[in-house]
Amino acid sequence: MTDSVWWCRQPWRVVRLWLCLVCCAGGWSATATAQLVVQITRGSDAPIPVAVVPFVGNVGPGVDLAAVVTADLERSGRFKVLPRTDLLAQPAPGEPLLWADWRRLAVDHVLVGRVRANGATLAVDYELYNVTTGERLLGLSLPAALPTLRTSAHRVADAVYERLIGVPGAFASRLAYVAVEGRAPQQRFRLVVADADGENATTVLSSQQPVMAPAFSPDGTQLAYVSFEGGRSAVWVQQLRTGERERVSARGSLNDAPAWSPDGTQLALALASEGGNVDLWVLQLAARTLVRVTNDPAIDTEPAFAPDGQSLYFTSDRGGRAQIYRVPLVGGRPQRVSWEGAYNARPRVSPDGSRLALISTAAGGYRIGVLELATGTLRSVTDGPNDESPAFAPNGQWLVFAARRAGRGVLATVAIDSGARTVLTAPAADIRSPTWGRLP
Amino acid sequence: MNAEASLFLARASVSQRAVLGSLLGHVVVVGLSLLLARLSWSPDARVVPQVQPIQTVLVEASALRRPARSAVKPVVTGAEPVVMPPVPAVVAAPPMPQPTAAPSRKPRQRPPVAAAAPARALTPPPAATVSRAAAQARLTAEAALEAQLSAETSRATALAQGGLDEWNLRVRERVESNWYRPATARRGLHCRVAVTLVPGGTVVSAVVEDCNGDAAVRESLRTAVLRSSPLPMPQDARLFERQLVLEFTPDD
Repeated sequence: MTDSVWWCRQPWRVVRLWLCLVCCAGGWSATATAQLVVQITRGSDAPIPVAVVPFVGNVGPGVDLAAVVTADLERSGRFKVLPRTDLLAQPAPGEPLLWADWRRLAVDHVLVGRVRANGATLAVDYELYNVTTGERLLGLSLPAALPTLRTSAHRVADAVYERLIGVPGAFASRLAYVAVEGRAPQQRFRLVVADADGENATTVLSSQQPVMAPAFSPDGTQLAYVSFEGGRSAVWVQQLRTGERERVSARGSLNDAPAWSPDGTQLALALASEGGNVDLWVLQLAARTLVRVTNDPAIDTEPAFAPDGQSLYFTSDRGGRAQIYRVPLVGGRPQRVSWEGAYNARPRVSPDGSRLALISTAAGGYRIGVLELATGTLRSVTDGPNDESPAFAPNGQWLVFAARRAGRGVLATVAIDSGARTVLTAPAADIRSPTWGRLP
Repeated sequence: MNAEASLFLARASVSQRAVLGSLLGHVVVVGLSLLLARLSWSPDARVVPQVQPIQTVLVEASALRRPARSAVKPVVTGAEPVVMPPVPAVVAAPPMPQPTAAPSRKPRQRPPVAAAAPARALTPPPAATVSRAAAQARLTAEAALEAQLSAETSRATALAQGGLDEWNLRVRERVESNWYRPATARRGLHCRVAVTLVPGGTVVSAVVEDCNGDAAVRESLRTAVLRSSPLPMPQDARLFERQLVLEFTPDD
């Protein structure tokens, strides 16, 4: 027997050696070809750190655009803006940025801007940079005018928000609310339209009789509301630009809760017969024709159109306590959609139709809740104890509502996802029935 | 060995590429090893002088143990099952019928060669007789192979011990705490970011690939990775990889 066939004489040694090699080679080839893959399934809830550099340019008395943008971004709960006093430099658009300095300030993004004369009017230039990559994310110029410079600043904030958060901002939008001054019977009711940050408040109607339930038309040009002037309730539609207004419903004993259809051609209303039973109707604004939608001995009120315009969400006590139901406009049996808690009322539908904002007692007190329609889950986004009248921002990210502080209503907003809350500045009055609309 | 085998199987199922790669690796390595074993087994006189000087080298006490043990029970090994490391088995091979006649002639001519590390590790005790030189020859060749193998095995062992999982977790935690998730980064998002690192963990590039998210999402991913730089390093530096893939798949 020759030496060359030792593996024939001792085959187990071959097997052993082979096994060892298999393991090593297997481990080696597997690690060589399969990269380390790290699964990221969560993110941080912390706000994004950004810097907003004061806008350069002297256009007379005015508006600190960077301050307006800063307040917008912080109010959203999504951003933490570096204090202006911490800035190491204040570059203008087009000027180079020293990345090392900005990184040392631990900001991810920098916004720079300029206001300049543009013929007879103005223009606002702005640029957004990513500090970590050095890339320019936005570089835009907005036509502007002196009286609407604040709006221009809101539009800049909207662009930054959309670029970094992925959904449009809604800083350039408007609120409407009712401000009540004095005590009964010497009360004064003012219907107020203001910027989304509470500034530029303008009274569009003043009355000795109650005014309530304002609702912006989908295009933002008109306001529907309920007024008791003359001692009886009526629904009015007012053109915001001209102040021209029209009474569109004054029937029976109650005309309440106007809600615009998504195309702006119809109003859903809660109307009561002389007998007092409240049901839902839809009013065609052009033809002034009324179509009944619900017919039930219980109270059906506070309608809101689904975004497809084919059905209404509304409050009804047909089950004993107030809950939210949905009914198709073509008729049919209403389906209950809220099940959690003893009281859910005043639904408003998010722009994408996926959720409702409502008033709920599910978590104790009257709080603003958000009901996810797909899952039926309801969660509170405010603390109560007497929050009312939630309304979605046009981008669906925030709610405005009235909270009671020290015995009077104040205007408050909450970011639905982050829970960030703010109380907006408002005149010393009792604030009620806030609503949110887009700019025309 | 079992853990390594199961590790291999688990990894091999990851992708066909890995399987093909490992098969190819096996064929090459097995072939090479057989060839090496065959060469080292040869009684060719030319090979022997290279290993002769080994006997003159000082040996550390710890290195004596394995050969010593093998010297004690050479006879038994023929029936021994495949449990022990291959070293004793190799030594247990029947002694060479024709040991070289001139073992002590050349040691002084090439002492530097003896400094080869793998050879030293397996040098038999000085007491070993010259008649075992040929056995040592084969032993030495296999030892060299095994030294190489054990280096790879130790890496595989480290993998099996979860060192990679530990690194994975720390990278994950760091990136998650630095990812400011846009509103559009919801369940259903699936994005891969290819990350290139240098030792120390500094991120030199982060490229978003295969991403069904919008511009804001892509922006947030790159920023998250770059904000996380330097990434944590593995505690066992041998596990470090220059290339990582981060998969962003939010679960809500």
